Amino acid sequence: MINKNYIKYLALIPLFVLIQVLILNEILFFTYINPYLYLTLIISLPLQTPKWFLLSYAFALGFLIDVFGGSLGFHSTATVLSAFFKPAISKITIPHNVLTDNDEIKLNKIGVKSYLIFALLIIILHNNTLFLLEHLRFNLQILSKVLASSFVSLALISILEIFKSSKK
Amino acid sequence: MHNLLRFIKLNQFLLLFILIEGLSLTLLVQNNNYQSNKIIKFSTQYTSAFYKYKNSFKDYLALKETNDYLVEENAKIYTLKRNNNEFVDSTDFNHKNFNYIAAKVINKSVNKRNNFITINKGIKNGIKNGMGIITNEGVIGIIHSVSENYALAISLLHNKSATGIFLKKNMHTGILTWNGFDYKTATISDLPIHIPLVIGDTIITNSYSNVYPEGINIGTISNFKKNDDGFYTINISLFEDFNNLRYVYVVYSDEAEEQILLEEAIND
Repeated sequence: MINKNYIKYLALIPLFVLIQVLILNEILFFTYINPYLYLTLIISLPLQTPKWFLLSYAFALGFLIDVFGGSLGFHSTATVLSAFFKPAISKITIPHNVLTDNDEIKLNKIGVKSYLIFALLIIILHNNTLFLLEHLRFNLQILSKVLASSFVSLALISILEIFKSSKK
Repeated sequence: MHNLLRFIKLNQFLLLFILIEGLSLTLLVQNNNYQSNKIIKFSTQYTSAFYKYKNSFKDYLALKETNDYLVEENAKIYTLKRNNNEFVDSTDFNHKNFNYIAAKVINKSVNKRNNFITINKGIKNGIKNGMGIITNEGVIGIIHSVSENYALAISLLHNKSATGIFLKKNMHTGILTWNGFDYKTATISDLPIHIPLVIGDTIITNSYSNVYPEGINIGTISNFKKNDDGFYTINISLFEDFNNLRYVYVVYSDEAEEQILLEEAIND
């Protein structure tokens, strides 16, 4: 079952944690919006990835981000939840028969429209869980924070995706 | 038994999800205590060492600003010292002697609901839980857990932070809290509406605190509105830029312990 994809993805964890901790956590749009680029890993993992790998991978990723942020449980809960709903979300947003078994989910493979919707749903789910856990209530201000934050993350993830696809 | 195995096999994704999500939530709930937990204490040691490297790079880029800041601070202390020699204020009853330990902020956040600050002084330098952190421009937080070389503090920008304040002009007291969005703004919601307020009024720390010295400037009133329940909701624009913290002072008073002991006696 060990595929070279998984090794690549495991190796990408430290890289994305470092990018998040060293660079992105320093950037704040409108004083409190912080983009979460590491979600791109969860988004692009192939659909046929074993479920246990998907969930443990999401946990490891979220846990590391949490530890460096000095808090525990927030990012790991949100990331594991979005990983759990990823297969369901992919069923309704990604057209059938465009991906073979071990294809990563990429912008140029599934089309711009379905990629944006797919990624946005996962990011919103993640951000929503994260901010609800942090604030423990829901109002208009939190909703606007979720939406604004999701679109900033989506923009960053799409830029990375365009950059990756143009390189080839 | 056979059915159970079949059930587990069929629902393994869901069961594993519940297991891992349960683990995450347990971590979250445990960590949400006011007291720090062991995992955070343990991991702070290592992440702090990491952030120290990051900071040595950032410091290099900010040398000029740090210089300006220190020159300014030097001037302030110099003036203070000169004034002190000239006359002693005999009306100054309310004086707890506070000791200062200078420290550097090596990690901080401002965008979460509950923010923490890591400083580069720990048990070795005499830092203990419950000591206050201030700068020239306001109160920063309270020490929450200490390791050998580092200390983690609850920032003012935290769900559970509550700082006792005076309205500088008439010494009315209130409690300053943070509502979780903008790091430049804090809130007071326990001042009754019979007190006259003006936008721009300064608020300072009050004298009841064991943690902070009295009279540190915190911020000014940026706007306020009267509520039906008889209290104001006041937004305070903070003097301190929490996103740009570099040098702070850990403060503690030897007399504070005496006060705490005395006050605890009432509860027994």
